[in-house]
Amino acid sequence: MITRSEFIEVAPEGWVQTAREQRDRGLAALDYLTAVDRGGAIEILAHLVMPGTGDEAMLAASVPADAPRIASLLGVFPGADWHERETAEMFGIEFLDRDGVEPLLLRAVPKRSPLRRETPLPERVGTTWPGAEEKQRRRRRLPPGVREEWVDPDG
Amino acid sequence: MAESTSPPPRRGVIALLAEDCTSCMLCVRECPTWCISLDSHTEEVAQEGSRRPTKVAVLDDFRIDYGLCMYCGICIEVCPFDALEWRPEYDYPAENRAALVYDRESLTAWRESK
Amino acid sequence: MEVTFCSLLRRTTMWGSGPRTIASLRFMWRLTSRPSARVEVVGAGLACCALEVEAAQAAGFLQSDPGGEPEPGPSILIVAGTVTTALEPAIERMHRELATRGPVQVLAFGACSTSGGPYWDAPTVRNGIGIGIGIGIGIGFGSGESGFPVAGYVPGCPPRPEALNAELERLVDAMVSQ
Repeated sequence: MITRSEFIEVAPEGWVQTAREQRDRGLAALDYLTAVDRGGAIEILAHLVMPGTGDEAMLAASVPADAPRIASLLGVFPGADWHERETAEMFGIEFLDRDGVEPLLLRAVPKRSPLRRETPLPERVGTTWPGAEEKQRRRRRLPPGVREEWVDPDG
Repeated sequence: MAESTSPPPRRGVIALLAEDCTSCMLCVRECPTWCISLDSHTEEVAQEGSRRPTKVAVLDDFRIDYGLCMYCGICIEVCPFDALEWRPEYDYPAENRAALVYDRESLTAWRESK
Repeated sequence: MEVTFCSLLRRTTMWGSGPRTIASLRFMWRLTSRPSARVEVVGAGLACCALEVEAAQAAGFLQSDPGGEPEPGPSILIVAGTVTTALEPAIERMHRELATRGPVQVLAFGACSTSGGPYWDAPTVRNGIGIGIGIGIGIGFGSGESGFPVAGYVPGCPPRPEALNAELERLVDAMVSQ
């Protein structure tokens, strides 16, 4: 059985309508909703699946990183509740036209959204990486998961 | 008393074949928990018939911290020289964190594990 | 009073606007291979390692406590899984309550309770339940001053049930011989 798989780019204004259209044509299961920080823009992703056949669609909407707002999908998929709460606390996304966006996994809303690119991961920055090869006089490498802008150039 | 009827694990502990290690540090860099580290130095070895000596990496020490190891096996997969291998020993607890850091000698000893 | 892990969780942890109730779970056993040793084995099953502790019970290494009032005496607290900052108070409370009944030996079962394991770099994860900053490779943000005196660390991700049984036998033998 061949399943169909689509990637649908959506303008933020059409987010709810597109989700409703896809749901009404059979992709009735919201698998997950999350986000990716692309630098300058945050891409909100909703993965929809057709129960039984496995047909899928990935809806993607891009919002500016400094104005991260998008409509909530609660009216179309009640199951989006926890996904939106997690995406809100991890990326700092504001989901419009809904309430009850309290943190799902973290104990409080963090000052800096943990999964944003500019939020450093202190454990990785502050731990000596065994792979740094300082002894071999080669160019000092950064460990995986550490961005150059997190590291103090003089430190 | 209950007896174990399950077969020995394939992934019990990781052993080192130091003679095959070139200190390339691929395992060190790829380890997700940063639990591997090694010390090495380079030596010049004169080669007969060659005008210049060759630089050879010599492994001094190799450590795996089994308190951090998540037994993913990425180090074994990535080693270009097959200098790391799985061994079935699974019972090696410790009374403190430092005792879980195995050095070259103890990692080599794991090769005998059945 | 029966000490159940999640009743402590209910009382000590707050999420959002108020305490939430988690389904009550019981993890109290005796070690099958040491029937005459009166040592209570209590499991704090926090993550995947909990399944290996349950497998140890299924394999017969551990026997369910028949129930009723727990007697005074020594106990072993198995911390099996990732200790997050949210859950730390519950584990500490569990340890305190067990300590009112007798000496408690803490067993760190698996990589997470030993060092934070695969989640060592997460800000919400404690790098192991031992006291102080662990020595060894890769330990940067350690456990700090708080923590438990750990009687044994069982490496593995997760360790096998047989490894748990072997370590429990060692701990019980050491406790009984004192």
